[in-house]
Order: sequence, then structure tokens, then C-alpha cells
Amino acid sequence: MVEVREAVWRRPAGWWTHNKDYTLFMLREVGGTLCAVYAILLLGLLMEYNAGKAAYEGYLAFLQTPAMLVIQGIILVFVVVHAFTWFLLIGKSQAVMSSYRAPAWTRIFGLMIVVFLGASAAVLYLVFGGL
Amino acid sequence: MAAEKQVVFRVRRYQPQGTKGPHYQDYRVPYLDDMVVLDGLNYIKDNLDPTLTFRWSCRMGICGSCGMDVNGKPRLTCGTFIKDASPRGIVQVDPLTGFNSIKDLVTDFDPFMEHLLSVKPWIIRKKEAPLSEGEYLQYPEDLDAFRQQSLCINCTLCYAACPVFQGNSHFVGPASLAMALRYIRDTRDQGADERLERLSTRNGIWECTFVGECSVVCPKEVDPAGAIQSLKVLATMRHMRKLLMPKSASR
Repeated sequence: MVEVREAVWRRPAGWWTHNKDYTLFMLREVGGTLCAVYAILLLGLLMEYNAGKAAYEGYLAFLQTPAMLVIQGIILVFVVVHAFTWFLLIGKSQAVMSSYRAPAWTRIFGLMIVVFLGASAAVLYLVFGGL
Repeated sequence: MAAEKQVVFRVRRYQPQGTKGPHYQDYRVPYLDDMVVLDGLNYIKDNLDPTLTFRWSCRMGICGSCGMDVNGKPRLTCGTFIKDASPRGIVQVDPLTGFNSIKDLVTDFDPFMEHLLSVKPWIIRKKEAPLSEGEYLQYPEDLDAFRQQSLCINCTLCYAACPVFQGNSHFVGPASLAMALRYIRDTRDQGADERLERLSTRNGIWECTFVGECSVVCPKEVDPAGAIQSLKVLATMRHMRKLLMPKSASR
């Protein structure tokens, strides 16, 4: 049997910059990690709240330093990218169907946007509007 | 050929018996608006360079043989018009990403074939009914359940678009997983348990990070990304059912 000498394919460095969909995917994954980072920041707030008023206010002041505000702003951008790219995918990954036909992904995306905006409005009302 | 327009085909060449590694070679090709990239490659082979090697067969998007990277994107060359693929007067043609090249644009499909066979793409019956009982009957809605996945032509464009497969060639991959779902959804099939056991592994469905590019490049709208997510739900439900109701039926 003749041995075939193949040209071995290797993935190039920076492969995810060659295609905008790959880039968006990587941003979504980074956004997922930053979601976890922000969750840890919030858990820290809870821990400091448990430690007492002074500790809580100290932590709040730390979160309001310019560097932390910039970091939280970056996290916010990535989390929004993460949320919207997932909304784009949810309708396509929708597998639990009431019949054999899944609803169109555009419908699910629209529904997700409505829920997202509604939840955001509710949070803004709770924080700034009162109750 | 009465063509006035010309385009440069930049083709990745590889001659296994030669001393030169993979390299690009340019060919000037006259074309008409109704010519596809495969026509351009055939023009090169017939008129300019008979040593150029590539796969093709049906020329109508059915056989899945002529998949190549056109300007960096996996495409069926029989379905890609030269006029659309040459915005700057150059059509770059590479072998499909993620596969080793045997010669020029011909890739080694063995890894794909192994993955495809591993999902057992045939109807599995625990016990065959005797012929006297006739064929296994299905309703139209039974066919609808797996029709989309059954349209796969094994062109492997989805593998070439999948960054997960590019990073881990042990990943079963989009087309094979879509084919697994096709048989799992077939009411005549009874092999869902063994397929899901094979697929619910690190190199199976759980390796997929849902980039979604496989569904974007699929020329038959099989939606392998959606199929893999369906398999994830099925595998999870099956696992939970086994855990909570070990004596329940498998389907």
C-alpha cells in the first residue's frame, strides 16, 4: 500500500478574528465569564452587608472608585453583548416543542427582547422610582 | 468561450510527490455571469493546467463532493457564482478548513467518515418484524420530524465552519450529530439509547459550544447547530428519566 503524504492542516493563531461570527462567539464567551465576575462582585456586597454597616459602605465606596466604575462599564457592555447574542440563539436552540414544528427564531428573539426590556424597566423602577 | 470578463483564480496547490509544500498558484480565467466557481476550476483543468486536482460530480448541489473554501468560507463550488465570489477580481480557492489535504483541493475525509459511522446512521431495531407483517408504516408528521436532518448531503462544509472541530478532531461534529438526531427521531428506529450513550460524552454533544456557524454555511438548511441542541435536551431528559423512573420505557 502506498503511503499518502498529506499536507497537515493547522489552525492559525487568531483564527477567531478571521470571521465576524467567530468574533461574536468569542465576545459572547468572554461576556459569560464577565457575568460570573460581576456575580462575585455582588456576592462580595452581600458578604460586606452581613459584616456590618461600615464594611458595607466601605465596599460601596470601593465600587464607586473611577477604576471600578470603568470595569463595571466594560462588564455591562459585555453582558449586554452576551444577552443579545444568546437571545439570537435561543430560538435556534429551542428544542422542547409542543408539536414537531418549532416557532420561528425571530419570534423567540422578539419575545426575549420584550422580556429583557420589561425586566430592566422593573429593576430601574425599583432602584430609582420607589416602592 | 465568448467571455469578455476575466478573473484571477488563486488556488492552493499541494503535490504530495513534490518537494514544494502547500502554495498558491494564480490562473486567469474568462467567465460569464452564469458561471460558478466549479466551472472556473474545470476551465483551468481543461485549458490551463491538467494537473489541478479537485473533487466534483453532480454540479447541482446534490452529491456534496465539490465543497471547498471560497474566499475563506466553506461553499459548494457548484452553487457559488464567480461574479459573486470575486469582488476584487480574485477568487481564492482552498481545500476545506480543518481537513488534511491529500492533493491540491482534495481533502482527507476519513475523520468525518469515522465520526459518521460512530453515530450508527441506520435504522436500529431490537427485533425485526417478519416480512409477512409488511413494511414499517409512518404518518406524514412522523416524516416531518426528521425530514430536515435527512436532507444532509455529507458535504462537510459544517465541519469546515466549526471552530470546535478545528480545535479537536475527536469531536463527533455537526453533520454526524444531525444524522444521529435524524435516526433518533425516526419512529421506526429503536437505537436512541445506544446513540445517546455514545454521544453524551466529552467529544460528543457536550463539546459543542454553539457557535452556530455550521448552520450558517449548510447548503441544505439542515441546521446541525439546532440538531445538537435538541440532542442535548434529549440526552438530559433521558438521563433524568433513568434517574427518577428507572423502569420507564426508553422512547
